[in-house]
Amino acid sequence: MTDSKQASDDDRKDAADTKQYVTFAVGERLYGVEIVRVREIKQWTPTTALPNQPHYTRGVLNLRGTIVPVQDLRARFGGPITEATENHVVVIASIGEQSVGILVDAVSDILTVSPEDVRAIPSGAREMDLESISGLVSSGDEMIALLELDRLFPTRNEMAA
Amino acid sequence: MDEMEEFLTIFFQECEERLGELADCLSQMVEGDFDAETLNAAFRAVHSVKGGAGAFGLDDLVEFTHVFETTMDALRSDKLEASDRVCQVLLRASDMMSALIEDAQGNGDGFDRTTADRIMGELAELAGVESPRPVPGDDAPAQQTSSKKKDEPAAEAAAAADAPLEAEGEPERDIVITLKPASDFMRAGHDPLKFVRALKRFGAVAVESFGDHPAVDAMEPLETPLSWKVTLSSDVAPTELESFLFMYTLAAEVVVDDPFAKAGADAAAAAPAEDVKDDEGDAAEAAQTAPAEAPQEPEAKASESDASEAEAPKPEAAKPAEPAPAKPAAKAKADEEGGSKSAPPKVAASKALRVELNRIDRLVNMVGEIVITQAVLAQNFSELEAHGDIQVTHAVEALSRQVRELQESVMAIRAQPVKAVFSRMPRVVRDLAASLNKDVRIVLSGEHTEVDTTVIEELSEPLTHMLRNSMDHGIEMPDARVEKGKPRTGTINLSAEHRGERVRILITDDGAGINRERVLSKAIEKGVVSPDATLSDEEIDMLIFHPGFSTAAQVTNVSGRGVGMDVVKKKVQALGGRVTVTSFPGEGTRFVITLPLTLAVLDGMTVGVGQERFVLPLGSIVEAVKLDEKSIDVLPGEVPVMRYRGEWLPMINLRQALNLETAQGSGELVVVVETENEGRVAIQVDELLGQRQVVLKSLETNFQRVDGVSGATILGDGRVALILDIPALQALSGGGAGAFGGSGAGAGQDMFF
Repeated sequence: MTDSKQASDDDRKDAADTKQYVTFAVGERLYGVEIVRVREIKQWTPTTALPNQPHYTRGVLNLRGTIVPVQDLRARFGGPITEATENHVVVIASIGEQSVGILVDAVSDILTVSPEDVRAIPSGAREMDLESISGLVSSGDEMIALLELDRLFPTRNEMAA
Repeated sequence: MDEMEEFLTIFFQECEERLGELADCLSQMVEGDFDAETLNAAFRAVHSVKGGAGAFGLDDLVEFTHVFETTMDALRSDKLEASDRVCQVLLRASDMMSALIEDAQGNGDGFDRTTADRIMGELAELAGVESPRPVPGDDAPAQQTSSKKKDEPAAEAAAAADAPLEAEGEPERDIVITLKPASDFMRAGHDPLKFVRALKRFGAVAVESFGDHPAVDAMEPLETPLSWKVTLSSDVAPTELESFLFMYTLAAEVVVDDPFAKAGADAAAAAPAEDVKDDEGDAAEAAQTAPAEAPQEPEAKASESDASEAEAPKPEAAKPAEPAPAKPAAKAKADEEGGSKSAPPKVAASKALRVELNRIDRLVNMVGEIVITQAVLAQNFSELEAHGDIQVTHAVEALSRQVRELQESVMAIRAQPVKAVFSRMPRVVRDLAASLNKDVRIVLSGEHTEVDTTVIEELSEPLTHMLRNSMDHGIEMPDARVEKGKPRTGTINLSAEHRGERVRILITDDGAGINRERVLSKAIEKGVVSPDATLSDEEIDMLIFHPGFSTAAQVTNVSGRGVGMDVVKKKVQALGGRVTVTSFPGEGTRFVITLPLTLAVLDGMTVGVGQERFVLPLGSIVEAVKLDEKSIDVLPGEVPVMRYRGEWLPMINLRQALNLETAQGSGELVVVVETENEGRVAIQVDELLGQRQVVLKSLETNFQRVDGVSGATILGDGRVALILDIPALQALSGGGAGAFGGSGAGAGQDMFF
């Protein structure tokens, strides 16, 4: 765990190679999303359910006049539906032109990561959903999975024939 | 570079406008209802496109518009009469011009150069000048043929022009070419000797010169006082000869006496004056003088005005169309002089401002926000103690009124006349009429009906599909029409009108109507309908909108892949509209599209189901009634129906249809909703929460299209409510999914209606 201090060490290191990630917790697990993609972090408010969506799509919320879907990260990775309370947060991130709300338990930290710190997912561990994780980073004793949002929550917007 | 692109964008926007003006003028001309002002306006439209194109180095466009302009000028200076044929050529030219503009923009399917050249040839011929691009191959003779039929229906002329190429290789005959060099013949780089030598390859057998030449001491070495007569014995195609001679026509008078061209397919375009004169009378008279004078001008630009005015009354009409880079400034001046008879018209400049659409969108969004905030305020206020304060009450009411007005004004900014899309349709019809060999005209009305820009943009595709459908399946072949006692030319009426909060678009044709027998048998064959189903005529007619359905006996490139009408329905529904068809066998078919005026606001009824709130479009609600358990029945297949005023309506339970996990409510109310295609439907809800105007929000902005929902809105308390799409819901709930036995998944279901 030699690189455990990197979060604080690397504050000075400039943007060229390193990337900053917002990390958040879902249960015991930690996930990270590149900070430039995070638009804001909101307290959970009840959403409006959408008909006939995957179970992890919790519905939509009103983000200052635009309608943003909220996805339950725990449920997305095969866990149960999150019993959301006021203590849960929704991370609003952008995927291309679109925005998505990700329901998580709590936001934990901002992490600076240089490319060499990113480990590939062990090939033996590949499962259905691992495509949506771009790599692993360790911080202290924790392992953080970096999310590939486009793959995690793809949308189909062309008019289906 | 960026700046340049910006200018280009502006130029193309302008082109659009100019094309629109041109289309207006031309359609007036076709109707025969026009004056000098119309012609001037049309001329100006073409001219300004040319000017801009010149500045941006769009050579193809410049070349084409130049010839076009020359023809327009011949028209406005009364040298050319706006006959039917002329109008048809002009219409085609304007279509081609817009194709060229699209091409210059780098979109569109590119343009067909042969067609462009042919049209240019036709234009040039009308104006009595040379086309800068004589048409290769045997198209030219075909054109010439068509020119003889000036008074015949234009379509025939077009057909003649499209006639298949004749075989190459003409019979060997004697052709006599006479060359009378102009004074600047040598200065233009020509040489009579080279001319004769070059003709050798065509099989020149004899050369003689004629004319007087001055005494040797008075001879000007660069002058060519002699004329030459070359006799060929050749089997050359008239057009080939023509293109060879073309460069000489700019600096000399060239006359070709080709027995074959005369007897057979007519003359070579290189000397239209002579041949046209032979073939016809007065119509060609104007044209006749022009080329004769013309050759001297291009090289003699300095003395242009004097010289040409002396020789030809209409200088720039007589000037041969020169290839690309025109000199806009000089030309403009010449135009003014030439057109001075009809005084330069005052443009009634409508005060307009070009604003980027996304700025307006921002404004619309902002106003949408204000509407919502205002609603929140009003709602909170009504719950407050301060309710008693009369002044505050008045202020809140005034605010809500003003906000509504503000919203309407903002929406009005986005409104555009449907003309923007209607004006493209005549071209579609003309193109198609030609490829289908049918005679069809389109009559537009109500083009000034205003609709939201977004609606306009989306309208073009479905309209095109429908016109194609009408022309391919509806309108009969001309002969078949005559047999039935109908006019040879089929008519399609395209009209728009406001109907309350919606706009109604009608497409009516006087064709054969829907062949119900064929539609039904096809539907049964494709398994769309079960063989023992009995469908009403209307239901059969609606089958044409079914996915994967087409009755075209053979797959044409026009329609027949079974996507057209299905796409129309999808597209129109995506716009929150409905499409219906009514057919009168033997008399024609009528399509009706109704669309919301705007996609941004909607009058809706908010209903509650458990904790959830939904909005139903107010316009579709027939009435709300208390549910009477006794009136509910369940058909086989778990399809609930409700008895309502003597009929059975399919009933939708929102909880089931949308899979809502919300608290069980009373379900004691039923809202009866009228759908345009599938009759009335009963929707079971818990409570009605009142009607209000809602701002439509797209789910697709950040997510995707959701079945059963046409959009979302934000309620007074900031919550999101979904706007229901009843026909889609009906399909979802599987209950009474229309007359088609369920679309897709439910295909195996029995029919109940």
